[in-house]
Amino acid sequence: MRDAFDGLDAGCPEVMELVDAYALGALDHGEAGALQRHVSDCARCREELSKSQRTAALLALSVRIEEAPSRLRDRIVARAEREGAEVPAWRRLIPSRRTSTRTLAFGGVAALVFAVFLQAQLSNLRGDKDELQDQLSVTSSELEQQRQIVAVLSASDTQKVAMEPASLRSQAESVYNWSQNNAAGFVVCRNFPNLAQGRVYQVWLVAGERAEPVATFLPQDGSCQIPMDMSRMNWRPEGITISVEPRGGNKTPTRPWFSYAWFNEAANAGGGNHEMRMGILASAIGP
Amino acid sequence: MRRLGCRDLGAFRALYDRYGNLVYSTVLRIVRDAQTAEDMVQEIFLRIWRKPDSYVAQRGRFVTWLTSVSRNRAVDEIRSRGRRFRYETTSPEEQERELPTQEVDDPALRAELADQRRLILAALARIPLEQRQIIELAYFGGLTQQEIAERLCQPLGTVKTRVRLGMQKLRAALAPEVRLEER
Repeated sequence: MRDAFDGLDAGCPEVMELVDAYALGALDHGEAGALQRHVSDCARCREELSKSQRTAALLALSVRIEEAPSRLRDRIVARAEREGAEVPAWRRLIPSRRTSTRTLAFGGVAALVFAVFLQAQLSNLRGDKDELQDQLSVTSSELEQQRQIVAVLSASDTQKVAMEPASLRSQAESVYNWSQNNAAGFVVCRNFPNLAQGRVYQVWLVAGERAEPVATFLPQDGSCQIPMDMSRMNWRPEGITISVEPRGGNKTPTRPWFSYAWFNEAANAGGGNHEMRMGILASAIGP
Repeated sequence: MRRLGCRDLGAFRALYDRYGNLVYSTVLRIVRDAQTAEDMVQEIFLRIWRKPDSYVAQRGRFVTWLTSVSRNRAVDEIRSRGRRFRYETTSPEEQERELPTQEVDDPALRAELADQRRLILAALARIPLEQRQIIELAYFGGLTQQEIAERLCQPLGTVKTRVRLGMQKLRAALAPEVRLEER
């Protein structure tokens, strides 16, 4: 079976033969990767995989129930208590950590922007006003982006998932980091190939047939950092994808994906390979 | 689970009382070591305490999600340790004779799990031994098809065929249960 996948994406017949082994967690890394690439873009095989995963998940319920030591309960509850018990009513009245962090971060950015503004005012005396105001605009935008990225990286709940390039030959790498507490995330990438004139990469958050555009970008020397504000997002994505679109972006994505990661195929259904599960365990915690 | 989001320690205790033995049993079945199992149960429950929204209700029942997470975590553990224990499968008939789900501290849940366990064991019992053995080695032993072939001295093609045939039968037998999960 592995021969069939060398240098190629798996087709439906091959994948249908693998879904049961995948659901049991019995595929090797290469086969599992080929299957993941295929199901990311094939609803029929994804459905078949889902059924198999749900069946496999039931196997866990066949275990004979053993009694856990009572000391274990005490240990776990005590540890949970140390980590933080019920939030007292008075604490609910004060701003949350998220609000505080955002406020502080905004304050920091505002101070930096103000410093650049002062510099612009001083330079204005030398007749460089227009140029420095442009600089101010660019600087504040970059500062805001950096602020978002730092906030995500420094959050206590930061999660990340590696995105898979759809083509086995691609050297492109990308990772999606996010913090649910901060309602923000960002994609970093490298080795992204230059695109033809008039084309851009576009990031999407997806769930089933739904795909919401997040950002468009052109990599600099193959690299990118794309911050994403998800504070207004009121639905739960199942994956993140990147496609190639006309300049300005598209309302609906052009398939196949350039790269992708799915958050939650396996966590609720058992089985799957390790890497996928990692993404997904996170997922459930995803944005 | 909603109450856990408010850091309600009482809800966390109730959750453990309801599912602690089930998680412990699932993990113990895979790691085969009581101390390791205890550490992993602690890790799994504290992870839920820290991130209660890691469970998404639309994707299936909580108990199935929890046992799947437990199984996956236990398999990761034995894989990361590279443990070469000899995983022995137990026939469904033997398992049926063993103690049923008496240690779950919730009568309704206990009855439901006992019923479900009987159904799953019955479905497993209808699968030929050589297919069932391979399914169990994969799911509970954390072995890949290649590793199973090496361990059982069987051609890889035979193992793959047995996985497919066994799972087809299991899927057919458990289809009503799977539909319950999809509700």
